[in-house]
Amino acid sequence: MNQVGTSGSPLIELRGVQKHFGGVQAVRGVDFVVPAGTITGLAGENGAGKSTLLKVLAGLYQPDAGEVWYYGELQSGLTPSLAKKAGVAYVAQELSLFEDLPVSENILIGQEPMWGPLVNRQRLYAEAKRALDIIGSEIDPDAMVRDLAFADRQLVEIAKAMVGSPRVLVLDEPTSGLRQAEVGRLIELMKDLKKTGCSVVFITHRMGEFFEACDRMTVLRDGAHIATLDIGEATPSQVVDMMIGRQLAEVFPAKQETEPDAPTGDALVMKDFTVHGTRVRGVTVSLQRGEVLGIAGLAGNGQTELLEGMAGVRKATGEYRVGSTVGPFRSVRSALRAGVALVPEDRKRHGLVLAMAVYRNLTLPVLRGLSRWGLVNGAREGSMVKGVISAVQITPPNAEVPVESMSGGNQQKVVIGKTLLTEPDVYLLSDPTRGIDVKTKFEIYSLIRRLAASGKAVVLVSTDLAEITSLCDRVLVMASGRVVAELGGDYINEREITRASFEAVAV
Amino acid sequence: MRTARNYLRREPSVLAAWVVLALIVGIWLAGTSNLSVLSVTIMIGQKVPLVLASIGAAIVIMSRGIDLSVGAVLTVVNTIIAAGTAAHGNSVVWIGVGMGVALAAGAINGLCVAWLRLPPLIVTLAVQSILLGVALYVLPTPGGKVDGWLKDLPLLLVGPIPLMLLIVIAVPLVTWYPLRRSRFGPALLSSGADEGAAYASGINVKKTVVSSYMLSAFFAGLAGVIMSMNTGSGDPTIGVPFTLNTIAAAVVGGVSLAGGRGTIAGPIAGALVVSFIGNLLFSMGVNSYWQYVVTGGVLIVAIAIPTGLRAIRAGRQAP
Repeated sequence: MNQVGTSGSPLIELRGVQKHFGGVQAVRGVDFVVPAGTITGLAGENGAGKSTLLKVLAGLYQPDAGEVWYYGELQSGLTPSLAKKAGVAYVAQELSLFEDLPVSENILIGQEPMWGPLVNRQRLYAEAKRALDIIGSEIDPDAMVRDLAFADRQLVEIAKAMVGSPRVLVLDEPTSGLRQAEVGRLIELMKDLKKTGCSVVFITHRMGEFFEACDRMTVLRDGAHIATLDIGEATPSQVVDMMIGRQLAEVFPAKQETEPDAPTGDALVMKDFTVHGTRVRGVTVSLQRGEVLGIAGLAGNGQTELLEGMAGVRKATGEYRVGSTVGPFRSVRSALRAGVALVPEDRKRHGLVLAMAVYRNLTLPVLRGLSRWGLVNGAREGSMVKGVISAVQITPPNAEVPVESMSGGNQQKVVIGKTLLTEPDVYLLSDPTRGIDVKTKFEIYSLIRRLAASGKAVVLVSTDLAEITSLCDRVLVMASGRVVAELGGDYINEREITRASFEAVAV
Repeated sequence: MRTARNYLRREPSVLAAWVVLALIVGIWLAGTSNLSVLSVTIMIGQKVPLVLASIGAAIVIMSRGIDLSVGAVLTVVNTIIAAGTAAHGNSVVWIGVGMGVALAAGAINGLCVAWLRLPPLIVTLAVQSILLGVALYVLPTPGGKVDGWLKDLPLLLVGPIPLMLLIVIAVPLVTWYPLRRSRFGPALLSSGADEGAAYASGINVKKTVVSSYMLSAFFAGLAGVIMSMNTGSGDPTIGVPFTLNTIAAAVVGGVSLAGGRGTIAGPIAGALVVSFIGNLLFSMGVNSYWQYVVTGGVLIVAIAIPTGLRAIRAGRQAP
């Protein structure tokens, strides 16, 4: 069990792995090898398939096609517990701790030291302490996870992986929530493991960490393997180029002339804006009418939370003014009244009532205006719905069918149409084209430009860099909840954005 | 020491539930003059079934389920014992049969929820309906009998202490405590908190969920046995009010309906709170219809306490 593979035979080998979710091909036939005694970095843009690949490797996902080999043996029907037994320890990006259990029980869950039929509490404590010592953390094993700070939770998660001396440690973006000193210690730990013949697979979004920690790097793009190279022969800018790749042939509408009678001036001013319960802190932005402002950055760096704070979904503090109304808003209703509307990221959960007909989804937020003595004016509702359906080009223009029976593109148009009806001055769009076909994307892009030309202000959060660079007049890059760069004019390009999001190191 | 400190840190609402209980019992004692050893002993015996059934209900709720068949399991066990003894004698055999039926019902609940992924609310409601039908078939009208020595048990004193009080203390200690300290404890709470994360940690979530429903049925069955001793007969409608009271007891005792957190000391206090409210109101001479109204009001307050405590804790965490 504890013998160490020679450098010739890989500890883990993935062959031709494919995995899709719904209509999206997340991983397309990737080969991936983990040699013994190495630290391998896995690089790629958002949605490149990094996490999916590692989840297949660790038994969390069953691949649609392809093979997983551990120590030269083909694994079929791999589960997380089998992987763990085989010495492959996986630390997910999203934390999987149990808040209402103490640190010690979390670290040893499923493999508690026993005393006859009972858990041996003394040893549980001691072994948890030992695992925490390995990673150089002084967290009390008796502390409740609920009471720990985010970085400490991340450390507990890594300690959990260290139980049972893994031969392969798989870390999916472990450093994004860690403090600087802890990142250093983690890299030390990875190097120590390497010396004992174990291997580490490691995702990070900070270029510097790759070059500090890794021996080799694999770059993925759009679910495909692009290159695997020794760290000695790679340069950061070359890796960035490989991650971006050539652009997909997507057409973006030209920026339109602003209409002559469109209103101008400040649409929104925000100073030292902080969103509670998130990492978003001290954001200062002003937004002109007629402007499309892009917010870029790697997924999960606070972009969505910032929009939610602006739209009254989350509690926020700081200076915030929309037109003449002073925020932050305490509810979505008051934000709407001030003229700020959010098109939420998860349209199925927050944007639509799926079982309800299209027309009622569209008019739900404005029913009060359509009603008299509590009854909805059907004629006015009908003509309003007709207008919106043609404005956002829902095809076929059938208002009676339930939204759940429509394609994702049409569903997104319903969400946007619903927002149009509330007649906001500021549109907050959170990844509005996710999972949507190219033609519909183009229509949504055109709509965004039309809104801007008519004097509305648009904030666009997207993880699709082509979208950001082609549509936006100005771009903010966020990292760890802060704005780390503001780009305008010729600086709005994928290189600059990627560089800014990867170079920014959280403090 | 460490364990006790952790315990309260984990679940301050347990303390709250016991304080509420102490208040209610205190007021009741102050207003009641003619207490005899016999009446106290009988009263304790009457509270045992709800306490036991609430332990089971709480275990299921911790796994993020709910068990609406608790009252029906209790009833079935009661009718089987009473009808069986009346027809063939020997209650002990019929206790065994009743417990077997109870465990089978729990297994059906658990398998439907864990393997077929059916909603627990409906599964346990359906199983309740089936069991009530069985109970009516076994014993269409109240009646039947229980062996005499069993009937005397609720009145038995062990030294100065009523046997039933010992049972209330001993049953959780010898059943739940070892379970919580075994691997089942973290498995139960982690499965209830986040099924996906528990699976990823190598927990057998399905087995854990099935076990939780079987434990619930076991405790409900035990409650049915004690109930039979108390009444000395059977009644096919005896358990109906139990189900919702067990859920109320669990929540008053700080078990989160969202799953993943809770204790057993809490629900025990919760069950005693729920049933002592009745004693208190009765001794105060409150009309029976007002008793219902006041019971509802007190329950809302009692449930607001753990919920409020939790909100305060969560609020303090916000940056």
